[in-house]
Amino acid sequence: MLIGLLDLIRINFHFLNPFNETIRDYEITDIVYSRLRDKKVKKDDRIVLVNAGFPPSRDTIRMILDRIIDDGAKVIALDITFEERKNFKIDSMLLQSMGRIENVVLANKVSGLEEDGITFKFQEACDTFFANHITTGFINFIDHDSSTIRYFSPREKVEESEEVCMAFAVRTASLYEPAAVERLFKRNKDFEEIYYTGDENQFTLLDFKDILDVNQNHKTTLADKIVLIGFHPTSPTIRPVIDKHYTPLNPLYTGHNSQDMYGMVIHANIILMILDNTYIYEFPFWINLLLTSVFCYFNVHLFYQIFRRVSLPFQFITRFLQLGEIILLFFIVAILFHYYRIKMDMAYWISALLLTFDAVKFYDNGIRKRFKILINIPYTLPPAPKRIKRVETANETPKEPSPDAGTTPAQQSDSK
Amino acid sequence: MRTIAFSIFCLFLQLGLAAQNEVTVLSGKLFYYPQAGSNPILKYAGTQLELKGKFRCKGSESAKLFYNGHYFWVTGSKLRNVQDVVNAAVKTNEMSFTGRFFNFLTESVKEGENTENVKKYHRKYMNKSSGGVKGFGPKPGYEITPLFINSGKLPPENVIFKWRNTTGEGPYTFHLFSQEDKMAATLLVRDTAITLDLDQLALNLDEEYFWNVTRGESAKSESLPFEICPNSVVERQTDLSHETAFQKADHTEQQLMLAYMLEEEHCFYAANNTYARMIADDADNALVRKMYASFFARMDMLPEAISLLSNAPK
Repeated sequence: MLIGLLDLIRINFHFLNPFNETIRDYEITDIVYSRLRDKKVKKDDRIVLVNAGFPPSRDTIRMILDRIIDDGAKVIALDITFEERKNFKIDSMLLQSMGRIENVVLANKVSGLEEDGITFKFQEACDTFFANHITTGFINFIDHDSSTIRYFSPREKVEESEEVCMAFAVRTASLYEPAAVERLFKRNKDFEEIYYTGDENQFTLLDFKDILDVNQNHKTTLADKIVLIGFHPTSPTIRPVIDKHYTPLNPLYTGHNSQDMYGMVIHANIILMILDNTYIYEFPFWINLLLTSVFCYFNVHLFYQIFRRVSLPFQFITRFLQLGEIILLFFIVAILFHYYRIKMDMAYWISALLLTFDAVKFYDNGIRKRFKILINIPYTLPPAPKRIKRVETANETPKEPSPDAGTTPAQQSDSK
Repeated sequence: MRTIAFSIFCLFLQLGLAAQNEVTVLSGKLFYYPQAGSNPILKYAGTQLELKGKFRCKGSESAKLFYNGHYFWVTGSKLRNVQDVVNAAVKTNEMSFTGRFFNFLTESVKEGENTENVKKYHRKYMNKSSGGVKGFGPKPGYEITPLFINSGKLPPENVIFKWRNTTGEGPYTFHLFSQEDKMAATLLVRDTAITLDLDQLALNLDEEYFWNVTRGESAKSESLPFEICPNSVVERQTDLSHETAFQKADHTEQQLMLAYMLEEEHCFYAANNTYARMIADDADNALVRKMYASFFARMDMLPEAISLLSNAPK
């Protein structure tokens, strides 16, 4: 009840405390992503990234598109927005290349949220010259105040479109493996948390110059694959901050850090999550509440046991217990997320743990003594430990038992 | 039936082992040499190279390689063993999840102590970061300057090794040695140049060697790396005949493009010879002079560059 009351009072003191500001965009699973995951990279052979350079020339895109189609790619997704018509001849040739196969996806954006907060008015960032003929998917991420990209929306309603618009990654996955996207839609969630399997090092990355190089044959690399074309530099040192975002994989999970992942790789991670069915599971509220209550009850019982037996070092012992339990809770959260993708919100658990000590003392010293009915409730302690019988020798006289024998210090103070 | 099953098992085992003996190129490109003396094979993203053999990157480019769950970058045109690079990069002490968890906890405690340490012993922490960029200047510690055109890929014929004069008495000592510091030649030289027929020396193709010069007890030069590269290989690596721009260019422009390509492939000696031939053929060509002068500047041969521009016909 106390925790629930405190939860209702949400006073935003962030402007007084820069520490709060730093950890606002932080979740405990960020530590699992950035520090506890296995450093071994599991290479994925289904997705290939192609760097189109910046700014990407439409003529170059057309040429690499033709080469990739000739090499037998299964799905080609262009993470590039064609917002307006530039040159009729080049645009027509580009459209012709795009139309050579059915499985091409272009990027657009949804915008103009209606007053109902559910429907968008427009799809933009892809000129109708292309959008009327080629499948599109929106590339919007759920991003509050340039924060970490954790969630994405699989589909949205747009007024001007009869069909429901899919996200870019979802549309790409649906062309590669439709059953995987059906599984996603069966979950019936408005948004999904992205399960990041890794950064760009799990994919093969080609530069547009490699694609156009006649001395290189990429048939085996590209055949039957999902090819994502966008911006991703191939140099290890020159990494411009263009289409680069914060993700939970950032090596610095709080404080000053720089964007760590290009947009194309975020889409690739979403596609892998859909294809592999590796969604993150969060307990529903009622399970959380039940588990919190059990945990709270267990701790109150434990702390009260300690308090009634050893009241003097009670504070010392319980502080250590609290520290140990917090580390244990962190370990449980981390291991559940790492191996099973189960995300648990430990905030209430930790609040219960931190307040137990004071609640026990307040109850025993304050509330219990004020209400006679509570004093009359018998509190049965476990039996006192057995005394070791001393063998009397011939020279010793037997000692008289003390009046307080068989009682604990707390019971002795009660009787007084 | 058992024999068939066993054979299939052995086949899969061999395939599995073979897969582990290969390094995948994730991005970039490099030249792979399966064995000594073999022609280079271009490896690019998506292709594999075996653990035995050597490789080098193209010019100053980089490539990202992947092996057994680990990725690493390789840079530069230095010839290296694949196995050595993999061993150096894949130093695994793989911890379990519990190990990583307790490692993280202990690091968190140390990080707290480190903040106090920074305040107490701030001078210890002044080595990592600084503001500013590097300028250009002569490398410290060397009294003798070797000419950079005598590095990179050298032809297997007469090569003139040159260096700048320095004050002092006595002859210069020319040293030629391998990567493992095994001496291949030591010669006393009166002048600041020596001509060697590399074909006559017992040097291996596609292996990296070094040369430097000393004088007296203290004066010495930097050790410059080089390797012997047959002319046929150089011609193949610098073949521009398929380029449309090359086909449309006139003879002088083609030679300039070729000289630039030779420089890109670290064939500095051959590039210098190409420029020298062009100047000899057409001394009045201002474009050729300027291009040759800029080449000298890149080779850190500023006096030669200045002389070329100063002696330009008016």
